[in-house]
Amino acid sequence: MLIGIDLGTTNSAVALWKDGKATLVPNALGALLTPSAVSVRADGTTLVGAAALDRMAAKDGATATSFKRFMGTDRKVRMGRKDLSAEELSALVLMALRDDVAAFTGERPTEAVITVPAYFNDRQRKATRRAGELAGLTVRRLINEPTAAALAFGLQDKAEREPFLVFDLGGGTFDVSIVEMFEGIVEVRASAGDNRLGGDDFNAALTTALRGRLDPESRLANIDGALAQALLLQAAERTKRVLSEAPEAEFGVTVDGERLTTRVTAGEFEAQTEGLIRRLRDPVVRALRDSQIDAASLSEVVLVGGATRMPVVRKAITRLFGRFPNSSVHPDHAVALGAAIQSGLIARDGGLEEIRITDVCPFTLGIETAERTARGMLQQGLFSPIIDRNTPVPVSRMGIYSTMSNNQKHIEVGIFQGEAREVSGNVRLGTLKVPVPPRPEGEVAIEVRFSYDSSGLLEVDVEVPATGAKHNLMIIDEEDRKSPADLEERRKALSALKRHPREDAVNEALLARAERCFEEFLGDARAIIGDRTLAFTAALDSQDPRRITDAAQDLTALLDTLEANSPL
Amino acid sequence: MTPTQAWRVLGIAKTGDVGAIRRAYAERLKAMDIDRDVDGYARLREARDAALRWARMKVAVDEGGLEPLDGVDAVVETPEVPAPAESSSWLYAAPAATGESDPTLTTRLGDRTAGALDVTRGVGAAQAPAVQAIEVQRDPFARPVLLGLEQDPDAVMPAWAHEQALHRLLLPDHDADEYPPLEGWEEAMARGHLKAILHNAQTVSVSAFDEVDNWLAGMLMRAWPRSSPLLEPAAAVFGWESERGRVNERPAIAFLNMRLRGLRFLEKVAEPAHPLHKAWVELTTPAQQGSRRGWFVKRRDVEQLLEGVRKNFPELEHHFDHWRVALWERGGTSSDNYGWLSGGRLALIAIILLVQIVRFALSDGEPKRQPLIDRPPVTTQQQDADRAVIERAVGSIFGSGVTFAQIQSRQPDLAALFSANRTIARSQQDTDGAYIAKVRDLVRERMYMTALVIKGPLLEDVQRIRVDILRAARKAGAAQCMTFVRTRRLGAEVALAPSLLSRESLLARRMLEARQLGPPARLPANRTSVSGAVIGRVMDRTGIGEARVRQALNNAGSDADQCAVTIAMLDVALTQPEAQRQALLSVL
Repeated sequence: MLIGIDLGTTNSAVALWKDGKATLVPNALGALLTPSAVSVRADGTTLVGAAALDRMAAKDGATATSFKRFMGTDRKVRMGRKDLSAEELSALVLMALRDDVAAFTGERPTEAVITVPAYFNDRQRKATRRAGELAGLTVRRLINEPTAAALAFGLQDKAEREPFLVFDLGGGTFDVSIVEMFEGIVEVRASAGDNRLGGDDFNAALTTALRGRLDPESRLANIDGALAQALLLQAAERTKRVLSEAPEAEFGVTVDGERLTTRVTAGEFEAQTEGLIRRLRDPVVRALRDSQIDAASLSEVVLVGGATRMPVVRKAITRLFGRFPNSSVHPDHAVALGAAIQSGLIARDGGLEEIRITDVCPFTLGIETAERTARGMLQQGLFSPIIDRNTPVPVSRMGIYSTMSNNQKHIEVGIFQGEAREVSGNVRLGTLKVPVPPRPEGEVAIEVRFSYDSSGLLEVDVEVPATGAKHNLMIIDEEDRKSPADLEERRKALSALKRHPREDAVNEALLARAERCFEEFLGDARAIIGDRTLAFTAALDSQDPRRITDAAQDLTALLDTLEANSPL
Repeated sequence: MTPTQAWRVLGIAKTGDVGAIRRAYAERLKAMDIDRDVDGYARLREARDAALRWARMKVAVDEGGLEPLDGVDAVVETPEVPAPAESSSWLYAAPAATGESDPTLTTRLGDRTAGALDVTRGVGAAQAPAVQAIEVQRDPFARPVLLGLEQDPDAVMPAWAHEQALHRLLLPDHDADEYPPLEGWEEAMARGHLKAILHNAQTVSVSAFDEVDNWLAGMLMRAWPRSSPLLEPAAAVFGWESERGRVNERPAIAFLNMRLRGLRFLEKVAEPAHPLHKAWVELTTPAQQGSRRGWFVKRRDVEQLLEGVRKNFPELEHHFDHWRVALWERGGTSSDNYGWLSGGRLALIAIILLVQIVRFALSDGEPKRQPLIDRPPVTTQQQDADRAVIERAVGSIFGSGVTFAQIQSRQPDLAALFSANRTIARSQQDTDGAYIAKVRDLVRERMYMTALVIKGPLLEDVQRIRVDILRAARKAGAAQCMTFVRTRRLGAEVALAPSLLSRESLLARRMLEARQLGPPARLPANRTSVSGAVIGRVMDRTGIGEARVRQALNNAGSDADQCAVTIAMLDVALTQPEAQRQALLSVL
């Protein structure tokens, strides 16, 4: 079975194409969104989703969030006794989503379409693909998030659409795509983005601005730095949500049984995030410039991503485009639904036969070259583009290069992705060493052909016409070069992690929530939470299903009441 | 791809119907597997784009009442022509470039009414606003307004007016190749307009923002170096520097980024902590005859600075004194690392220093204080006295009737010079006469330097007066005459006839009216060849032999000779035919 997955920075969602429409799959807690959080408890068991998020400020074990931000890097997070990379953490989230689908349909999914930010580079895409493989899913296609959102938006009414702009500001990444729809063709005209801009940055800005005011006596310095930061970020997230509806909100944390609070107004928040708001403009301008479309002639500006709910962001968008944006798609669901539509397309489902998607390559791809300057000096490390950014894919382009010194024995073709004129500012994708016949400089030419397919996979062919020799390089990372057995081993290592049985997920999440609330609330409320939690754990120990259900209901009702009428 | 091929690939007959083209494209696309047939996909897209271009052309041609071109290839080669009225973007039209054809564009860019005040710009890049389209009566600059100081710039004038005003300030004359730097008042106004434009750009939609970005970049580039004070603030708002080193860096931005780096370097090297600061000071200090290389300046630093500037910031080279640079470059083979400071000389200097120290130590009494540091408190009485002296100086230099207030309004930087010198003169307890002589020298220098730049009849007038001053100076001795030539400072012994002074003040007044007394511009080295006939006449007038005349012309020989030859040359030059006259006058 083929499923569509939105693997987000803060939240993930899974959807599948069923009976001619895309449907989101609820998780064990009945929610459509699963927080992209992984927690390892002291006893070594891992939790994914809401339960993990609630354990973020817990003092035992470790919780990782926002790991999508270091996807494709070597950075690892210490989780219990293991170091986990972003792709392994993502694999754990994907496994949870996979299990949700299995529970929902009774059939185990084997293949997936996974969404990635349009501005993800080759390495980040590869890492995402590997995360899917680690979770036991064959990744049929990686699809750009704004493209997926555009699919979901366009298929609402299947109307012809003049170019519209998808403004996708998620938890950690920002993408802009300009899309056009006609005759069953979904054509992406241009994409641009910022991989380091999202809702998380707004939380961080709020934290930085308010920490001094919140905690003038530096009480937070007494606890672990990472824990303090986690507490603050969680508080900032809550404050941000309140500020989306109210002109003023409270910002507060509980440290060692003591409540620290301060108030913040929407105006202050706006002033603090002005720098972030300004960064929204650049990718928009770039996408419009590349597609040669005037902002005034866009038919819609479609908002996707949870961070577009913030009034500051909406205000900025209205100003940027001189009109009100379209919020007809669900900002958190659109991408997963789009992924499911794409999966339906791949499966050639009856209701979807008619739709074709054409995308662009958001980066410039090229090779490293050297040039002789006017003074006869050799300037090295220059980037010579072969495929320009926002070229429709699949595409195949060729460039011809020649040797630069006499009797040169080989040419080293460095393959790069990026926009900087010097390769040092770009991402190296691979290197190919091509032997050439020794001749005077400039007499030996090589033909370098780049082929970029619609999944974003680059293949490089180098031909030396002088000898007729051909060299080929599929751009693969060190990780990919390892044998399938290696992958199998890593997969086993991951499965060896004690994962909580899905049936227990509800109870686990409830316990984690109760623990968090216990930490947050004070006085009487705290005492009552403690009592009910104790009753609940006792019920769990008794293994009597009826007792467990009753105790869980009691506890949930209590927490709901407390959190809804929060004294905070 | 030719249109003929395009129609064949699409499998339809030539048509102006966009819908039909899209349908054909969609049908073909769905029939192929684009991942298997990459070239086929590329060809199909190209065909679709060519067909859409043709269809759009056809619409434009039909509406324009022209015959469609039959030579279809030619149609395709024609670059994008913005379609009037409807510029539907899925036709891959470049956004319409005029404010007229796109009503939304017009409203966004300010409250201008379309048509009457049409300003062509934006995607048409660095197109100049159509200045002539503005009626003079509606020109907000018909009378001088103090700008850039308002709280809300929009309250005073709409955005388009700021853009036009800035354009006119930066590029006052369409035909000129190069403009002088902005003067004080111009810079203040330009900054004010820029502030308003930037403020506006940040509040309008992205397309308008992009247009202002392109337009401003193009204009700053064209008006360079006049536009240099505006570069930093503009670059900060549009984030031009983030584009540096990008493959697709716009040419104007690339140019401006280079200049920006130059400005930054200039700023840094002016600080004493910069490793090349000494070398910089050395090379920028104007050299005179008999100047030597500076002491304690390392040859390595000078070379590094020269090479770096020539390679990276060629536009900064004009800050250097060419004579000074020549001094360093001439001695290229010399191996000493400390310029003039070497071997025996070092010993000599050490002895002199020692003697000075000993003398200083033996002399009782307090060491003399620096007058500038020991500034006596200023009383209102003194202020009034100062003002009276300044007024007297102004009256004596520009003739009675001109007041200091007039200078302040006409030439604020000159006025600042007057007051600054007054403060110095007071602290040094100079006589009023000395002060007046000093500022007179400054005004005279500015007159001369401006005339050298402007040339024409003004240069003749200035030189006529100058030759009479030289004559007067010669009466006080040839040394006085040459001091004036070299330093443009007239010794106290030289007495000028009242008639000459009144001629000079008349001219000074004229130049003040025309705001021509700005700070002296840095002039490039100028040479001209002197014909034999001219030399003959100089010999006749001075009674000096040819060899000595030639020597004097090369700034050598005795002061008496040089002075006589300079005066004679000026006299002869003033009687020469126009072209020759100007060439000679601008090197004397």
